[in-house]
Amino acid sequence: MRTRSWAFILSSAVLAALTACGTERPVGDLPDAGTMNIGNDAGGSNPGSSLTGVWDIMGSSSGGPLVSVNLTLDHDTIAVVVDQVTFTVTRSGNTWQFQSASGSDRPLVTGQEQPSSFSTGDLALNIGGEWSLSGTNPNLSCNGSFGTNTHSTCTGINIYGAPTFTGNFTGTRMQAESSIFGDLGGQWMFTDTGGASCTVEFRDSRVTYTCTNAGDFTGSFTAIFGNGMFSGSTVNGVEFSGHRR
Amino acid sequence: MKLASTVTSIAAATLLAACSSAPVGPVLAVSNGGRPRPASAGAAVALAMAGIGSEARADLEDGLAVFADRAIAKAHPLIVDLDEEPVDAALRRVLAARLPAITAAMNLAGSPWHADGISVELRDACPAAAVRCLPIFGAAPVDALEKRARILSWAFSSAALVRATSPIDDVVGALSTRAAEPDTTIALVLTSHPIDDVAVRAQAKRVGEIVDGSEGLEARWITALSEERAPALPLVLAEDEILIVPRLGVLARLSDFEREVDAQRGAFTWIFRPQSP
Repeated sequence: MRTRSWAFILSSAVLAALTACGTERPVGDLPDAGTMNIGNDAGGSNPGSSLTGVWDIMGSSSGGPLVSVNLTLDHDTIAVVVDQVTFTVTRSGNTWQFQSASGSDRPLVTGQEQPSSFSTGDLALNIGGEWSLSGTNPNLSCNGSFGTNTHSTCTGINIYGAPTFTGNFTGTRMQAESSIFGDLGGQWMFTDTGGASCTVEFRDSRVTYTCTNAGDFTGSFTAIFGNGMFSGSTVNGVEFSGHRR
Repeated sequence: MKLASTVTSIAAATLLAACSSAPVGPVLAVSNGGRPRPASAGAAVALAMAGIGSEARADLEDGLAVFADRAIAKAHPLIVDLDEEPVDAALRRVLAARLPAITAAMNLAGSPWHADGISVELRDACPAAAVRCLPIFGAAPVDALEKRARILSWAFSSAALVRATSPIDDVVGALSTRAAEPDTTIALVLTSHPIDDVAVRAQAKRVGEIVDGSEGLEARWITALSEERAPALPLVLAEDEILIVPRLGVLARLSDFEREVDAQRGAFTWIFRPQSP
């Protein structure tokens, strides 16, 4: 249950962050008429605003009631609240801090970023560039870059119960495609030294994710975004939906 | 005295105006929060069983039976199970296929719905304590408060309500057949007609005896499936009315849901089309 909750929370946070700005994209810009006419649906949207705001996210679970997540986004902060536990990511200049409200005052992880020109399109948080992560656990470190060719070398990544990752991690954009997410648009292949293999496609306002041999991240989902909301499902029948207030 | 009379008149006029604009019949009553009350798994599963159609119920019954048969055989000392698939794989697969229906039913049965600073309750009439009352169907949210209220009660707010113009069993059968397809946007097809699937309950009881005491995620659903409980839709439908509920995962593309329902046009007339929360 904990694992699935984490996967859902992380997916929701990433999806919301990735798509909040994209929710304002006019439907007519999107070529896939079968799925991209969603912008006409969303009543009560907030046209003209940025990705920032408060999101209410719901997800199903295979063994209990719906999971509720509250996500607050602005240009320098991501705050995720689930089960009254808050996890925040804050940026000050090129320094990022990952912190849990239930933990100590010290950040769990601190990241230093040297930004690049990599565009994330409608995503407000500029995450492209060279990265160096270190944590309160002295064994935790991660160095790499995020861009069209992504790579990192990490040891002991374990953030508040999230899956542990150690080793080399690479990601390559195999093919560029039109997307509301700028340079993220296209088909990506991610692998690590543990044998995990993941493909992620950003196309128009749709994100498709498939991972094998990836431990807690094994699985797949598809999500579609439009007018202040997103929704999608996993191959296992788990569904999720997020709405900006 | 004159002032008191004026105030009374204004108050009365305000009250009359408020009453005249208040929605009639079952409403979503919005207030400023309350204590969360998780929906009953039993109530939700009973609603889901009523709303998934006979094909899906038969599929569920088969999945439960296969699991029970294999589990019993596997425990027998003289039987060698040559099937390479884990014994619970079929059960997990068939339950996963029903998860969207259970998810929608959990929301239908979940009134009052609560979130940070807001509570929404399905009521027969607008209570005096409500901050606002909204019609259940057919109205787009006009502000952030209504939007939050409709998101919390999404299974009602985004549902389609139709009136059968052909024999209702035929219409429900056609919609339920669509709802059993893997690419469907439909979670539930509900009517006022009671459903009591004895066969599913019997197989669930067999499985329940096998997984008794298990802490597996699906054990809760198995227990609920094995209980005898009449589905109680918290809304009175007329004999010829059908409530069609979308999957949570398609809320951002409700036009696809409306198209899928509309494919059965000719067999029904629309009462309320789905509205995005």
